[in-house]
Amino acid sequence: MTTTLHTPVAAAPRRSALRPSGLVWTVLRLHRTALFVWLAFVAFTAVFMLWLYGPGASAAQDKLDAFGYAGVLLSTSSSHALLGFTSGAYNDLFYDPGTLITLASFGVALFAAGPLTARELEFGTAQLVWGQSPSPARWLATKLAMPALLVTAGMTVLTVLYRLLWNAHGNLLIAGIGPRAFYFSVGPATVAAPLLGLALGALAGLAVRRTLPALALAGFGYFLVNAFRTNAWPFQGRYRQPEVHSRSWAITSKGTEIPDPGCYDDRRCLAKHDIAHFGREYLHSSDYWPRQLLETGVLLALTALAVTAAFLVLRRRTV
Amino acid sequence: MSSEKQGGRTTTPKGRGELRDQPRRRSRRQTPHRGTPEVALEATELTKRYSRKATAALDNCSFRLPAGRISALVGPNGAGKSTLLALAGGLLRPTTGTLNVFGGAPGEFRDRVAYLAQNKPLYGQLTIAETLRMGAELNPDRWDAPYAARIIEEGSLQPGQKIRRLSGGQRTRVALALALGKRPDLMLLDEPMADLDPLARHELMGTLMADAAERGTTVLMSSHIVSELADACDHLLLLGGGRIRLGGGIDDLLAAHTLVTGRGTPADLAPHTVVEARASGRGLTALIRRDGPVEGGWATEDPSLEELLLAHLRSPDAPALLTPGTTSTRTAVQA
Repeated sequence: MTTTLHTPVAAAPRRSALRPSGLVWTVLRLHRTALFVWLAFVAFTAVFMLWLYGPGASAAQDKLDAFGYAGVLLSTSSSHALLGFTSGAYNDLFYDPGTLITLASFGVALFAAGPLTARELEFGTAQLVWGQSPSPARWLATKLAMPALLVTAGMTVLTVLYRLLWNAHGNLLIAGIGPRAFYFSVGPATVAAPLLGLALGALAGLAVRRTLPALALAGFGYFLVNAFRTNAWPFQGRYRQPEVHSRSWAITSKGTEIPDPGCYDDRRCLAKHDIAHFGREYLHSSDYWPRQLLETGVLLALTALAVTAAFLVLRRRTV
Repeated sequence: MSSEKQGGRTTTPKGRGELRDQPRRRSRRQTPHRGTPEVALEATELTKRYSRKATAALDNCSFRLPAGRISALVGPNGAGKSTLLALAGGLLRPTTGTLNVFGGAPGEFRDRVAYLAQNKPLYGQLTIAETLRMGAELNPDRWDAPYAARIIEEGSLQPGQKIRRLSGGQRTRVALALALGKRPDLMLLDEPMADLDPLARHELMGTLMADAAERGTTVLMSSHIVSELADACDHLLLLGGGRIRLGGGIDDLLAAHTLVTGRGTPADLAPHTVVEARASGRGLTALIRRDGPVEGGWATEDPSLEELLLAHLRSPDAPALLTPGTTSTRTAVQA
């Protein structure tokens, strides 16, 4: 038993550059559960999106090919309930990764407020670490940098996948608020929002220093951020997301492109118009990048402010 | 009593045996020289207020702790002991005033200072081995793994045990191992032994003191257990009302006081400073700070540390007494 104690401790100072050491090791070890939960979330959501990209889309794609936009509508109404809480329709499943990403962003804010900061201050374990060699500022810097790195990496992967999924199968979505909200919200801002959540959570945790109030404050703070992102504020009316236009067409057996004849699922009507298959796409909006970059810029600026405030709050109380 | 003393200012006792300010009982590598001893801790008009409305936990507190001393930090509950230790550990920012640790700001030499909080916080989700690994990771240049491991082994603890499964006393042992493993030059211990059984307390205190004596570590330790302090410490800081009421080498402080018994009133004891006087079966028993030899029909006796402490704790208005080595240089100039 003694050897198990000696070996890791004695081996600690000399290790390869890639193995984490010092405060980084400490932070990763202390929040190991959160790390695993995060990796599991990223892996699950990525696999889910890959499924939506491949096998999950085939039924809806077949309907689109056969009946055009009417097929998209049909595939929502005729599909049976899956697991009782989701309709199982592609049009619904497509948005589920987005819900997961929003929930995870809330999770990041709550994690930053509770386990990352307030709980440590409340139980004195932060003081335990400061009583060793790291200064409080270095402690906070590491505590923010590690999750920020993981959040950025994970969210970037998921955002890129989601945009690829949109490019491939966005045409299977029923027109309306859904595709519009999706189109304008998923992008660099999807990565910046949880970073702001992390900063707000840490600020709440350091300012309140008690777990439950910090969780409530961070949750409310991120709720406001989320409301801003989903255009729920009255003053945002002027900046409401513009419509995303779609284009539908039909191809005859001779290969000529004609407008949708409006047959719905009437096969005799389709045969009369000699339609081989349908096509549909959402058009790119020139508003996308300006809106995304503005939103990302605002989110990152707020993040920088919250991080600065967090360091100031810490500095005011400690040395 | 002179009016100067009644004013509550720091007094410098005169009379038999000038205060020597030498460490007792232990021979030290770096015996503090009179005049220029290395200073571990120096507070100058240190004030800490937790909120604007609250009374100050420390109120214009000034003192100096020479390096190499093992100092007992004593005082009633709420006297500011934990606040002082946390300030010295660089965990809190003083409201006003300064506190120097080895001549620098409290946060400057974190690697040289160990701090053990009263509630012994540890990460419940880690095992003992992981907790020690954390000590090694956070103190890459100073960590003494075999020494920390020995403290754990002496408590018959298994390295694979989770911290949350440990009893209070076992946690204390792990927290001490974490504090001592970094081989600090200054140890700030807030009620270090409160949770330990008498045997473990004796044994751990022995480890602590042997190590401190060998390496010349400065220790500032708060405790309510006077017997523990009397055995281990050679220096005393008594906090009350946010200030040091009594500070200096324990031998010097004891030598400056006399327990007198006899017939008379406290006024008869002038020019000595009466710390505490009580009616007893044989007349009056009083603890006095001598100013010259005691004359008259008084029976004199040397007080024990416990008697000295209790008398001062019962008389919060007694004038403060700090020996020259314990007086902050800047305040000394002002006085």
